Amino acid sequence: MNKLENDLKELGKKILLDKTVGKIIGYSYGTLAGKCVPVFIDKPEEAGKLTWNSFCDTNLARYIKKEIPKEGKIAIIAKGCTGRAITQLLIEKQFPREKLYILGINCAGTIDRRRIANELGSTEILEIIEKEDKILVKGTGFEKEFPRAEYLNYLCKVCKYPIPPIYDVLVGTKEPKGHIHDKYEDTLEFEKKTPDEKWAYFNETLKNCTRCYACREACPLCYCLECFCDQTQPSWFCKSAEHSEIAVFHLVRAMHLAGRCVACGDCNVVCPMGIDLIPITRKLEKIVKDRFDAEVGIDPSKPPSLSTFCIEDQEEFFEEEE
Amino acid sequence: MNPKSFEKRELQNVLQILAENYDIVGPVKEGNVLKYKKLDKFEDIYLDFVGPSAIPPKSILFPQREVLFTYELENKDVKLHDLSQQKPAKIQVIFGIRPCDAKSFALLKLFFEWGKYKDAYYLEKFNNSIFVSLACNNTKSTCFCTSVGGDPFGKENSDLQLVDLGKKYVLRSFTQKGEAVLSTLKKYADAPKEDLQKIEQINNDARKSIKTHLELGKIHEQLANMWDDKIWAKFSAACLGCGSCSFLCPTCHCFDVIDDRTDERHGARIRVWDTCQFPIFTKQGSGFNPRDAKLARARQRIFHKFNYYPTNYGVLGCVGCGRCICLCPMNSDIRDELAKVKEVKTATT
Amino acid sequence: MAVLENVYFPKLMKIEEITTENPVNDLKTFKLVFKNQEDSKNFIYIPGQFAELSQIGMGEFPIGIASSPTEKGYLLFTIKKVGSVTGSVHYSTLGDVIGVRGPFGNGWPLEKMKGKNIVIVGGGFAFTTLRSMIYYMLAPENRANFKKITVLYGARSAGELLYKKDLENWEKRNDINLILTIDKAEPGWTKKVGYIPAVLKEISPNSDNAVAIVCGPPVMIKFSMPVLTECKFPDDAIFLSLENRMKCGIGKCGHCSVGRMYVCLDGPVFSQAELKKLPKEY
Repeated sequence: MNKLENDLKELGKKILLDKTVGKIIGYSYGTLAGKCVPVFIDKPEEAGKLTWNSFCDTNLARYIKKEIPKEGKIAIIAKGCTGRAITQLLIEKQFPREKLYILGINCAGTIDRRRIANELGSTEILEIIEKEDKILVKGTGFEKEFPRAEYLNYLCKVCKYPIPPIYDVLVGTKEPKGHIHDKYEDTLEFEKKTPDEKWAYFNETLKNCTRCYACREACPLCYCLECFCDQTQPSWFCKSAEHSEIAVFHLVRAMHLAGRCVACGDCNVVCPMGIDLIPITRKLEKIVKDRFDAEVGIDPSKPPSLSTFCIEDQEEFFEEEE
Repeated sequence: MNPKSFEKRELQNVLQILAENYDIVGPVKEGNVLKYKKLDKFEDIYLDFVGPSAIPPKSILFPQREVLFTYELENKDVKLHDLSQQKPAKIQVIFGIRPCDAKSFALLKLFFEWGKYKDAYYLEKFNNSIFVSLACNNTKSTCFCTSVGGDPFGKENSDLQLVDLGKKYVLRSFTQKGEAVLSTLKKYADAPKEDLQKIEQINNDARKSIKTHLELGKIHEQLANMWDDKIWAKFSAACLGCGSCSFLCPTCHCFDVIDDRTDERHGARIRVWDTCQFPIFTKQGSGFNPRDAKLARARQRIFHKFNYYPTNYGVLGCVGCGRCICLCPMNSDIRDELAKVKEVKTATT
Repeated sequence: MAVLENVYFPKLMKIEEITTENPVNDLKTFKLVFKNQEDSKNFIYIPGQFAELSQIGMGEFPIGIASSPTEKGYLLFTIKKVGSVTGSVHYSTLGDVIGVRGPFGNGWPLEKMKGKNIVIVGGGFAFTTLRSMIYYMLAPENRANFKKITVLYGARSAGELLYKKDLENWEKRNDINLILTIDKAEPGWTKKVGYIPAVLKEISPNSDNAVAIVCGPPVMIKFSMPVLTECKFPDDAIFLSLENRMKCGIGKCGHCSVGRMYVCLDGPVFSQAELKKLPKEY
């Protein structure tokens, strides 16, 4: 157990004992190797369940709205992207700040477990051990080491905000991870494709989509009480998992997240079919940067870019074509 | 008829012979995903996987999108075309499914023909299919078929079974349909006694390799007293309500029926997979939703498989394939849930 | 092998008559006639059952059958415009084709009602299958099977009462005691005023050798049940019709499951005694 995890357990126990909070949303070990699951703790003696490691990949911010108590506060373990989601949700007035007790963590990135599993093929991962800069994977009759930095989730590799923008207490050190100049090289590369090539990419990646809606449910910013695809009056498009309907669902959801997506990558992590929507999330992030010189979920005082009028906004699309 | 054995490299020829009389559906790998598809090229077949495929073969007989009938609107009149009784040109051999999946087809058949109304779409396809299971020499840590009455070499609903002996395959039949198929493979030798003994041995090893042992006992009686238990809130706390567990479960069978328009005058009535794990599954026209709470949906899943199925049909509604454990984004583990259910003290314990 | 009957395949009917039931025009009764005589002969139903009506191209919805099997040659359905499919049916005109599947469900418990006094409590537009039940009981060939018939029917306003012509006729008869009520007094209304549970308490129906049938919005049911219990109606003599979301109508799609039962198969009619044994998923 690392020191960070130890500090987290101690702090968790303390804030429940002294009733700073009534509940903690955190991570605990799952039943499968290399999987951590969200855990909801309301008793000090349960604080031992809390963990922090490179497999705490899911974004816990999605649970806040449903768990906000009538009285008192709730604590949440927030790495950088979780904190950005929380900030954006506060900007969108989804819950009051004073009800939250944010336990910030300086995140060193999470491992792309699916990539490791795919490379191992039919060999099952039975144990994963984290060592400094290596990940040791064990299965029936074999062992293999993977370099940590290479097998991080892609968005963790380009992450500029490992620490949440707002927090009540920071667990661990504040040492910067390393200054990343994110030049959106991946997005620029993708933009070079022709429209046909881009369309072919999306069709290829979406062909296994079963419309289970894991991506939508996982996304902390998808909180509409009635999603557009569930509406019957009017019914925007068919409910089946046909190709055109799947494309409509994903692309319209992306549009609904424009200016709001914090690029946490949870949509990718939770997809049971391994569909890669990173090009979309990165593009959404880049648009906000280019057009509004803003970053989603960083400054809690800044209203959302796409719902605020500003005289300096570029409006070249208004202009007549010559 | 005696089981046949043949060298592994003969597999494609065997399938070629079968293809003269049957359509062959088997497992192929597309990228990282293992799927069951109609095979035209037998070299595509992929049998080197452990445990069940990610996507269950249930979609062969119960597709995610199925056309029930097509329609044409003409002025004030309507023409409908029933697609339920379409007899395929050839019977299909569903090849290389795990014994748990073979059993799941039988559970689906039980449900679709139960009671006053029969589902013609599923039953027609089922009756025109021959099931060839691929015995499990190895199992995954998430497999628990033996806890729910199954076995890595289970015979339930397998017309034939293929067993991997390392350098050879043995193909054995359990039903009359299976016999008919074996009779087309006369050119292959009967499996010698050593091969059959080896099967027993591999079977025992496979059984021993299963790491999960749940003593479910009379779980449906136990559950009957647990409707209001606090356990359901605990199980459902992290659940996303994404439906992956149901979509990828070989025994789940809920669906929605909608009209899908191609243009103003043509279209089809289709049925699509639906799941009790979606929040709006039980939402009524008035807006009232009896299963609005996540805990109600978590409870429904366990009750349906481990209380309603035994009470209504006398069997468990789970084959222990473990897909829901591997694929749940939040690592909900049904084995964990069942073990915790058994621990609860109720009036019957 | 024998061809299996396809229970998902609708039979076609034509709209012969449309009656608007209320001033805001969102409740209409449709008189439907089978295109095919054979289908008409095969559609054998009892009061309380429902059918799945299709607006081909838009969708399908479950709806109680308002006509009684004693009314030959046609089926009546009273449809409220609530969504895109029912809305589309409302825009249909005479001669348009509607698909029908059914009859489904268990219907009102005729065997248990024989030789008994019948108390019917109906509210709003849930009255449709009660019309079927009343017509059935009042038919000359059936009337002797039932003893005293008391019907309490209420709506928000006079305009919202369904089947006004039928109500007028029933009021004139002496083999049925019809009590109408509306929620708030309005000019021209000389009958009772008050919520159904209150009027029910006032009437205080006799539970001796009696069966009660209750059909209406959840809030009406919630407050009427204690009144019936107070009047000493045992739980197995009170019957309700559940309103769960139904889709296939044949117990296969899973939407209407309540515990181990399916509302479309084992219901929609349940006795209060049976309901108490079921989980509260309705």
